[in-house]
Amino acid sequence: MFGAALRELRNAASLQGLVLLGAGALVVWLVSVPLLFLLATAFRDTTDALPFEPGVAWTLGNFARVYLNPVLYRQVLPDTLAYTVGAVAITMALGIFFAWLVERTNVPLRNLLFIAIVSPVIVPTVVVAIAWIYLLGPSKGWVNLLLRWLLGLEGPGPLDVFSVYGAIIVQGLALVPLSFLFMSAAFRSMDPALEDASALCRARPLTTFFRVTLPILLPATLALLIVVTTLTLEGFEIPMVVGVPARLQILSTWIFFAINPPAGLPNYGQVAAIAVPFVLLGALLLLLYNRATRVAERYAVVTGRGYRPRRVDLGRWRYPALAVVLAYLLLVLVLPAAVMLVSALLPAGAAPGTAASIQAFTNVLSSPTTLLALGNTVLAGALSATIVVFIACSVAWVVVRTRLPARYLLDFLTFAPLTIPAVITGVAVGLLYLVMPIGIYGTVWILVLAYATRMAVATRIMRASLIQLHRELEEASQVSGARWQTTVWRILLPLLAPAAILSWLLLFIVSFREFTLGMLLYRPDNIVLGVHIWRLYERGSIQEASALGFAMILIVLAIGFLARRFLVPRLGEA
Amino acid sequence: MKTFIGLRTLLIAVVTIAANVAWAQDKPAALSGPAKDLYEAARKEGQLVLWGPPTDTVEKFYPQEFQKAFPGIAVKAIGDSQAPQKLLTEALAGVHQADVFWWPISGFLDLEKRGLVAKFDAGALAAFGIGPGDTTLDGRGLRAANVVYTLEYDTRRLKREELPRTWEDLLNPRWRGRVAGATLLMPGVPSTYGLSRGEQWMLDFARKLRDEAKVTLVASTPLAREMMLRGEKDLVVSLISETLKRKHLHNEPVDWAPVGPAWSTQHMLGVLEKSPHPNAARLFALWGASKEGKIAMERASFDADARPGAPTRLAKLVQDAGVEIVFEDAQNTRPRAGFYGKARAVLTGETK
Repeated sequence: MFGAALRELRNAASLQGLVLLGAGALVVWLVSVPLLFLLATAFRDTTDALPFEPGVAWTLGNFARVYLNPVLYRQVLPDTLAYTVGAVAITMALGIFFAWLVERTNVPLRNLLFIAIVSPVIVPTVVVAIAWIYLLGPSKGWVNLLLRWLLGLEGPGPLDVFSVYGAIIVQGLALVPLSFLFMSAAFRSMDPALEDASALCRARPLTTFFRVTLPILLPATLALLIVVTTLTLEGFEIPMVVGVPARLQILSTWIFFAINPPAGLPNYGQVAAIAVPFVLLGALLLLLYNRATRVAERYAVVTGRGYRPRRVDLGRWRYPALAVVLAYLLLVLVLPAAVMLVSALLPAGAAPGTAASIQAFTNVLSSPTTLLALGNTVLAGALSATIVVFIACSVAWVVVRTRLPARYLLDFLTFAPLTIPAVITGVAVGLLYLVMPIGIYGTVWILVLAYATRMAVATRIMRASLIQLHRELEEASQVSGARWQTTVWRILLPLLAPAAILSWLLLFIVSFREFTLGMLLYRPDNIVLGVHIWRLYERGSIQEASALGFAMILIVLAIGFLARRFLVPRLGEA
Repeated sequence: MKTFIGLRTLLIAVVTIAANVAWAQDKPAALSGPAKDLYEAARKEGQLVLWGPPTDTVEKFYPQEFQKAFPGIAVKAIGDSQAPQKLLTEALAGVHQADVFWWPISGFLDLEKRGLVAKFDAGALAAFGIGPGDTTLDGRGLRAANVVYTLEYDTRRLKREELPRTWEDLLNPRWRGRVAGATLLMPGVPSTYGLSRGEQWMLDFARKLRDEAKVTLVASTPLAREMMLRGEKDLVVSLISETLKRKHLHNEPVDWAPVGPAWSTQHMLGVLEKSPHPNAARLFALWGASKEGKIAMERASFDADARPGAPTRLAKLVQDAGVEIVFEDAQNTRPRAGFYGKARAVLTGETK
């Protein structure tokens, strides 16, 4: 397989070969090495040893201990399934609905709504989860106090954040901004000509929606479904903050407790054994994804051309639709932001009349640790996103444009990390670079490499974009005497730019709010914002943590406004 | 004119006294013999890396107090709730970046078992006035502080006499749904009973805490405290030194209740066998276990030796309150860790 690949690459132009070989090597390095390490660990007896220690025996015992444990079937899998299905349903439904409203209808205040819906996107989930405790706490939660007053109720409740539905709602709402952003791009770049054609054929709106709109959006929707399912499955903060009090046994917290025994070494072998079925699941999901999107990708009409989508006139539903979005924003943006602001200005349980103080803002925003964490977060997020976009473009080109036998392997390798929970990725990457004497353990570079394993969605997005560009464009360029790099630079990249920028932004956002990998690979020099905020909470600096969370919302609002004003129109024109 | 002179004299006197007080607090330790030699060697190394739990004690107070006593040695503190696992993993992988660590015996034993903890020689211990009672694990661990379990309450809403006297009192319907504790601390409540009443009783008690008392597990003690101060809960499972810190350093309306039997983790100071800065590490650990170090730390952070007869306020405080304390030692820490794991599984709902 590799021999044929090398022969084909040798025949190709040297720069082209080098670029593609480099991308392939990066994929193999970033994904295969930790993956193989993890697989090997699953078969090592690590009861009281590290997988690489001399004298450690090979065993199947890890699989037996994990998969013959009745707790897995009695509680962990049912709880995880209910939690994931519930949360993903909320995320997908609201994200798609709001994206459609803002991008394809004439709902009022669209620009403002776009910014407001997106703004909580990079606030670390741990801040959001804690804000929800203040809102939905059964005794003194703001929402409960209001409801009791309105309905004349007594006692705790009526809502309880520490419940199964509480955890599902908090998790579901936490990913709506990401889902909205993702689907907004899909709606924006969708050519309405097909819908118009359907309407001309006198198809009813619902028929058009199901027969035309949905199939066109299928690749994006499936990609989103995979992303939010994975993020929900691997998310650790909300299950820890809200799920544990509700006694939910979610897979991510179950693994976390497994790697945090009361004494002794974590049993890395068992943690790795948990990961093996996820790799197999990855292969299966990839197969299903490819099958489901094969037709849709071939006929989809998402190109570099700009469109001015026709907007649906909501008529008398314009203002009720606006009211729905505003109610959502009140719940997920205004109230949590208000809670954070109050928590930042006043200590918990402050006596009435206590003067508010901005000391917490001053402390946290001038702290060298905050600046270090911000720098690390931006660096790790930006660099890993850039690496992944480069890989995604290259792999997409190999998969779509060549007949290299290795393309299937590359396709699988870029997809596999998606299905492995971040807790396990963190353990594998940490152990690997600890053993490997290249000096990146404990630095921000290990985070770059860990984050860069998330290449599945970007590769899918780039592949979907590339498949819609006719090969003739490149052939015409070559016939005109242009070299490969000129063709890429002048033809392909401009047409792929919107998809590449979207991929980069999504990766950057996911990295910016990353907590699990940052926590597992934490050292003082590589602290990131999510971990910094968590550590402020852990040390009791609640006011500072709230101040930082609130400041982040304000910053994102400003960035969102600027992006919407300047970046999005340009992307639309590209 | 007379008034001016009077004021000036008074001002000079105040400044002089303040300077003396500051100097008295910040002056380097007066050393001689082996201790002085160790300090000189440590100064040449110039730094050390301290590992411990993610608390102010490790990340703020230890570096601050040590540097007051021994200027010229930088302390890089790393607070991490997975510190023993990470230290062990790194050491076994041949990565040796840590010098000294502050941790309960439970985490210490894993390192000691693999020969990763250095032994202190008798001369060095004597130079810092550390007696045999202050060492354990064959002179590898130095007893630094006891972290004692307690129930913390909001003094604006509850009076001390209303509070539970034993952990079993939490089963009183009055406290149903009103108690919160961190996932790290809460399992420690039933597991201590396991030592005296056996596993079955301990598991039954854990189930009652979960099903009858409806205790709430949360991610961290500060979060539980925050919920209590907002009126969401009445009581929080905490540690006496942490409660005292919040009360005195942060002026929060909280206090601790004497509840027994209270588990007291024995926090130890130890030096890694392959410490990159062995002299600075030894100096730090020996100072931390010395009388001067303990007094300085109790004054700054309320972390102190609570064992009977220890010359600390904490020891007197718990003795006066009549709290029954079960002190962690090398013998009871392993069985209790076993109970702890099982209690955690019950409390989190993993097992019935």
